[in-house]
Amino acid sequence: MNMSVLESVIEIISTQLDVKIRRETIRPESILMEEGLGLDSIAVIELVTLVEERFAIKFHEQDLTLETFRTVESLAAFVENRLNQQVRVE
Amino acid sequence: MNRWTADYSAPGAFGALLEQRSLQPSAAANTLSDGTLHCTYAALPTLLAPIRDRLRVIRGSFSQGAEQETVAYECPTSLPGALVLMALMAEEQSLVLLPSSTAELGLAPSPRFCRHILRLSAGTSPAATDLSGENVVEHLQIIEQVLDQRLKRPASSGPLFHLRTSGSMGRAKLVTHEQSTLLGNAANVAQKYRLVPEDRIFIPVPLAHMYGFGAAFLSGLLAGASMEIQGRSNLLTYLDRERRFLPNVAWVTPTHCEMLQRGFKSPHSGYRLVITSGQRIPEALQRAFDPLVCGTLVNQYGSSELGAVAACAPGDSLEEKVATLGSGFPGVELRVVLEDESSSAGVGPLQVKHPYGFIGYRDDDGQWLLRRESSDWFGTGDLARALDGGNRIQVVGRAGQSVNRRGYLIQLEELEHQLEQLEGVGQAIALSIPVSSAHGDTIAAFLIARPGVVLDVQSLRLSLATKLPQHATPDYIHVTDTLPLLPSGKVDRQSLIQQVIWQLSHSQEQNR
Repeated sequence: MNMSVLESVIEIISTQLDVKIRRETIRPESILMEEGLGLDSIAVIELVTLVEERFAIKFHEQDLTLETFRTVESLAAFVENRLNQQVRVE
Repeated sequence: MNRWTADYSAPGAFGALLEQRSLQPSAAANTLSDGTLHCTYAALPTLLAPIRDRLRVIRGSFSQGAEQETVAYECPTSLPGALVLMALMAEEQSLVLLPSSTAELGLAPSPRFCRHILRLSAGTSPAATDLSGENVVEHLQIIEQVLDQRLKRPASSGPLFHLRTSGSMGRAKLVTHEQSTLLGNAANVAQKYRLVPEDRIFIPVPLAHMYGFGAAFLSGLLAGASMEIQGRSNLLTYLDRERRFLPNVAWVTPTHCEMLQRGFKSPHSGYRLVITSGQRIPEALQRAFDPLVCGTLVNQYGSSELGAVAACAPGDSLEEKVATLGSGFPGVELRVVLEDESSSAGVGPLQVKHPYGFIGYRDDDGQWLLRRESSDWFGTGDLARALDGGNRIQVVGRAGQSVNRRGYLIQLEELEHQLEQLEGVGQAIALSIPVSSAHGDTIAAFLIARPGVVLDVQSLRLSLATKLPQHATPDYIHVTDTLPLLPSGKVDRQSLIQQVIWQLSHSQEQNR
């Protein structure tokens, strides 16, 4: 896994989202919603926007799935994948 | 007479209705689900039987000669939650419907006139699809609280259904309906929207509310349609469930529309009707979201007090839907009261006469605060304008000052009252500042201390934290000696608002 993508995602969650989640509590396997980090509906939207802006990618409707947004690392993996695809196209 | 006209006040009406639904042609195919658990209409009587038995035991424990008591029920947005609610209604048990996260939301605990509090403990059996009435009963916690006083049962011929008013901040004010009028309201909804058993109805809003239960769930139940409820909906869970359930009707809020706007990259053509309610949807959002559901969005105007009042039809033009309330639900009348000079441009308070409205407000002790007859005109608290000689009504704004915070409507007057209850506070002014915070609009409060008292903002905030939920807490609290006044002697709120805006932008300048 590209550490900088994972690190960036963790950094977005701990510093940019309007939720009080300390950096130390976020692990790659942390579940984003519910019993994990407990991101609510507003935080989820913010996260989508912030990730799109940070990495200059766009989530298509079919990308917005519970699987992609299950954990920190599943989200980071998706982002990496999309970045690689974009590089290949270029 | 139409298929929706029925005598919902007849004893056993709701129970009979459930029986009928379980025997309808599509009863084995049509389901109720919460995404994890599901059941068919056909299975309902069997599922409900053990729960109803348990409720009868509770009722049997009411002391000899006690008039019918009221049960407080903290209802989760889940299928077991809905089953218990249906069982309570089938047993004609008077109840107070509360959200299951009552403690979390910082709302007042159960009303003092309820001897029993029902709660469903979270966590169903390991085999998540193994739903049974016995299972639900096992998870049903029944807590008995000591009643301070014996309260008179209000005069009513049938069971009562109480709801908290939305936007309440800790002071319990209960909206009281008769179970029969609640059903009448639901029948109205089913009739207006022409709900049929073939519909697939998605309800991603809380059940413990007039909207989620009174309008959405009950109307779908009366129609015998498949329903999918969803608690704690967010963009991802909504899209996920939508893909699986393929609804053609959805009950949402403006907050949903806002978030789905980000997620719907192209129009969703499966809907024939999407209803939004709760707060008035901002015009820009309505214009942006309506095409994303192929023109099927309608704004339903109503309240916990009156139920469903008016709505446009999906077939109406977007211009019509944006500008007007639409037509009243069956039997509902609306009027704009034009008083004196304040009614410039024909704007006045909007009143409604409703055959299925509430019968009054009660407080935490069960005492009546207000009684209402169905022939009374009731003020909605909104200002409106009548167009086209009264045929079309346009809502212009709220009569009182209110602000939207995370989906809750906070009445500033109520907030001021709460602030004035704090130790040492003489006068409080709460203002809505047109600057966004993460919670919605920004709230600023100005406090004047009682003579001889020095107020400390830090300790005030600590006190507030125990009395108010987070969303009702002001973002800024200023202690001041004086407040600017208008010639009329009223506080110059606009001047205070400008002051706060200036301070906010000034501090931003300094930080650059």
